[in-house]
Amino acid sequence: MNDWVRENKLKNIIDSVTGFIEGSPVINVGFKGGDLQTRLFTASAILTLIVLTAPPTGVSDSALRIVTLASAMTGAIFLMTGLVFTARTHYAGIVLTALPLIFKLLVGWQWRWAAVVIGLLALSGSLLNLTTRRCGLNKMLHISSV
Amino acid sequence: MKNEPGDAACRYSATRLLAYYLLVIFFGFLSSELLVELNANYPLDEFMKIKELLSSTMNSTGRADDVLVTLWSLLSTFIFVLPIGWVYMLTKREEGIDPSLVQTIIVLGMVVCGVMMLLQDNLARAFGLVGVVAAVRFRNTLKDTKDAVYVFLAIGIGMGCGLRAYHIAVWLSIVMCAVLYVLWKFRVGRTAAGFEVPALTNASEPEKTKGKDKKKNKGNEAAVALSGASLKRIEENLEQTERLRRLATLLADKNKGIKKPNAALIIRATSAAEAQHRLDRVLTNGGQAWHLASASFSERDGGKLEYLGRMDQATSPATLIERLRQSGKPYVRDIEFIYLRGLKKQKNADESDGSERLGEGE
Repeated sequence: MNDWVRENKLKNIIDSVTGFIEGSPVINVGFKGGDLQTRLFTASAILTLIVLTAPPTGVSDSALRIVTLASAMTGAIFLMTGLVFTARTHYAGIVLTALPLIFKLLVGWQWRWAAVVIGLLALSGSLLNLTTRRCGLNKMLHISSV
Repeated sequence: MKNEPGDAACRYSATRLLAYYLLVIFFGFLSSELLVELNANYPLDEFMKIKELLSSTMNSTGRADDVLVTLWSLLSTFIFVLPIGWVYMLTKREEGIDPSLVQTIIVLGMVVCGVMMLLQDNLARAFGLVGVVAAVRFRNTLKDTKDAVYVFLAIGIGMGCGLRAYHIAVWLSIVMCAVLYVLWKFRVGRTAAGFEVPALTNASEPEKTKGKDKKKNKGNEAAVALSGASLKRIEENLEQTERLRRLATLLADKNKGIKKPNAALIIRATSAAEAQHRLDRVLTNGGQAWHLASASFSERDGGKLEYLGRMDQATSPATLIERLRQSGKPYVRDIEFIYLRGLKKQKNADESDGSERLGEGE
């Protein structure tokens, strides 16, 4: 880890969600190729989770648990491919592993609206990464998907 | 303690491997959770195989029992096979040790143990294994007949542990080690046949040898030092230099004005693609013409890039190596510079460092 990471650990975590990197001209998210497909898949998966979790949809808790577990499993597979094949699927892996489990936890506590809010934050962060072509998580992991 | 050049790469690979296994365990946990959830909400009684999978997933006690037995058997095999590896290294010092065979002996025993645990008394599985082994073609021409004995011994111990006959495995290990050691110690089969066998120099008592004996032993020392792995390494280096020379000849093209390269750079990297991306900037900078001659990857050494080019008088190899090292961080593991035109008169001794080798293979 370099000094930049050490000194700005907390800021990095926030940046990784929002995709905003202050004073950094580094563009590390590509317009095409790289991990664009997995990023789009992640965004659509988050959107699906938000829609299913929103109370007006009326999806049962058990069905939601199954969906979140399946999503987390997909994320774990993305992470594994990132480790083994050095494919640039780390972003999709980390987001899709952590977020569905948070959803599962919040649904278990009957805090569905909280899950929706967190999901919307993650989705906006994901879309911001795609539009600004910058990703704090990529920077932390020294990965460029350009 | 000084860090070896490959340490960082090894640590990186080990961390990645550990992270991967943690993820596999996490994935297993998630899938078992999913199966339980599915079973609780949807009727899966008609799906027999899923039902079996579910029962095995939920039977955590049974699984833990199997896991413990497997671990115990593998550990026993490792413990019993390890002395075989030591005895092999001890008894084969003179002829030259094959490091891959030492590892094969240890790993083969453990693999056979696992296979025997899978087969147990099942005849159909045994026939299946015959087919699989035939497909894998696990054959190797061993230089010494005794090497095959070590391999068989590892198989025997592995079978013993796999079938939970630990008492047989442990005695097989102890007795065979003793027998092999005695055979080597008393040089059975050599002295009886009347061959004069040079004695191995005892490194701890070099002062005791004098006169003719000293000369003789020095010869033996050199022979021992050059035996096995050392000779193999020298051969590999010579082959590499010769190959690079041929490539340099092929690259030269008078019509296109490409001069014959007079130097080669061998770069080992944790990630060949990233290293190439960074090094190309240095190697093509300032009109220097370095060409990527080959790129390869191996599980043991990682990525390897071979460049051919011309060195001008102004740049010293040490400077070039330093520049490459700086720009290739953190992907470049080690850099080797080889002159292809033969021995070069060294103008400034201070400029050379340990990484560069002049006139290699001359």
